[in-house]
Amino acid sequence: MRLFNFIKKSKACALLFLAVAAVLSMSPATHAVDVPDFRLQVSPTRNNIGNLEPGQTYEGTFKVQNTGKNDFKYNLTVAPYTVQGQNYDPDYSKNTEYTEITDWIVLSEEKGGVEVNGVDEIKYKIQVPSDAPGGSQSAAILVSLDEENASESTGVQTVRQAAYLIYANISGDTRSTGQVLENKIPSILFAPPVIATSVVENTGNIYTRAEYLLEVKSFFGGKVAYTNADNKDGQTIFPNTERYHEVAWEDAPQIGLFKVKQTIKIFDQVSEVEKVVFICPIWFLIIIIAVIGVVIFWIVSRIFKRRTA
Amino acid sequence: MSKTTKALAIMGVVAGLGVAALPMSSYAATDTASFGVQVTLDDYISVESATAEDAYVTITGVTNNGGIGTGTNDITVKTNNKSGYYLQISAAETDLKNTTAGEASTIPAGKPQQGTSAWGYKAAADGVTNVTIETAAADYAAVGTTPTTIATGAKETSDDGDKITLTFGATASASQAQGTYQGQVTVTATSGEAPSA
Repeated sequence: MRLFNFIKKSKACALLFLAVAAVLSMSPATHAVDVPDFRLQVSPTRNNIGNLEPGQTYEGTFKVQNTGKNDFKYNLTVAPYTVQGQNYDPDYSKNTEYTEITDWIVLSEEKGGVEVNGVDEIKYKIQVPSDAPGGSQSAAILVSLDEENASESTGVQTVRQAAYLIYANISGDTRSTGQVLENKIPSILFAPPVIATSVVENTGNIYTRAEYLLEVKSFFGGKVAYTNADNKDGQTIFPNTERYHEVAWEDAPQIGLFKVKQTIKIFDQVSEVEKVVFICPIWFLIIIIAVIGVVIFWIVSRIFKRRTA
Repeated sequence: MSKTTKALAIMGVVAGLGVAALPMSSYAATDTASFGVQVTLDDYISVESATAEDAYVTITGVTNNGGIGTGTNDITVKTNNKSGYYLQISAAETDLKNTTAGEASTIPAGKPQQGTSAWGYKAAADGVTNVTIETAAADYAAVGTTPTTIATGAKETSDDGDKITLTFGATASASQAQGTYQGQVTVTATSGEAPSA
């Protein structure tokens, strides 16, 4: 009561309280993202060129952007780009017959500097030799922050780097062959999403895009519950590699019975798998098992009673 | 001047200013023109150093016969690519070299353990969703010359980005020569491939 009277009497306190409340209520909306001392940004992050002819010269550009608080210097290097494993982890250390393009790329500059909020447009030229072999070629332009090591203590300098990927198919003696190694749909799920998985292999010598179509229909009635037909998944598959892929129906219900079909296409190879999928939460499964148990117990006890009677 | 007169005068001034302001809004041109606005954004990927000191990680607490000395470094990755990103680590030369004049000793890359000389790294991403720290990077591992994926982002990052904490650890055997040991690693961010690109 005393406090109430005090606030009532003190208009200044009341105004101060209102001001603080207003500021506190505003703060979530005015959340600012911290700007770091240095931020190296590359955009776009890749160039899927498509076809190039032997003897052709191709010119491309990308941007190195400074969105940090300080000016920075950077270095550019051209490196071979291959992938490791079915998850396609990048590898910039291995030269193969598909990374000869590394020697065909000429950069407009090999180092530079960007001011705060500045942008450098990096120009590169790909000079395809007239005797270039037909097939896929891929490389990366690596942009690294040039930060000096002024420390005299035991430790490790960490160089930050971002990659810009380039790939093209060179016309000539090319092979377009591939196969679908796996096409899997689960039968029972305890919770959504419904995820269909697959592994495809490119046995040719040009890269291509594999397409993944997922269609879900209700088991009773056959009404389409989900399809990505209008926006099919697609992924680049490089020669002599296998790639894992997942297509998901994220908004699947918690419970239901569906017919799920996954169709995968690489070159002219098509794989189609259809399965009945039962989405059943674990608690529902326990109830079903309990009900079945009770029914069995009831039947057995009746039989036992009849025999004893 | 009475209070009533004062009040009337103030109201008069306010009303006058209001009337003066009216034409600006009420006599605006009534012709309308429509035009389209388009903004095109490419995908991007960025890596950052929160502070200039982040470029060098000092490993403290390394003593002969002792436990693991450590130093940490945060790498923040941002991308608007729907397929996320790969964050990898590699080194052109994997040993830490003694920079003391006349010394040629090294601490080799490996899993640091008391009683041996080795240095390695591990990664963590506390409080960040949609990031997978690869099994190989969950505990101390040696840095190799081939890029090793330490973290993958499954989708585009938030405005704050994904902060991956790298911890470097080193141990020194009984016979490890005194000196300052230094090395260099490269941390590379590569965007994923948007499924419908």
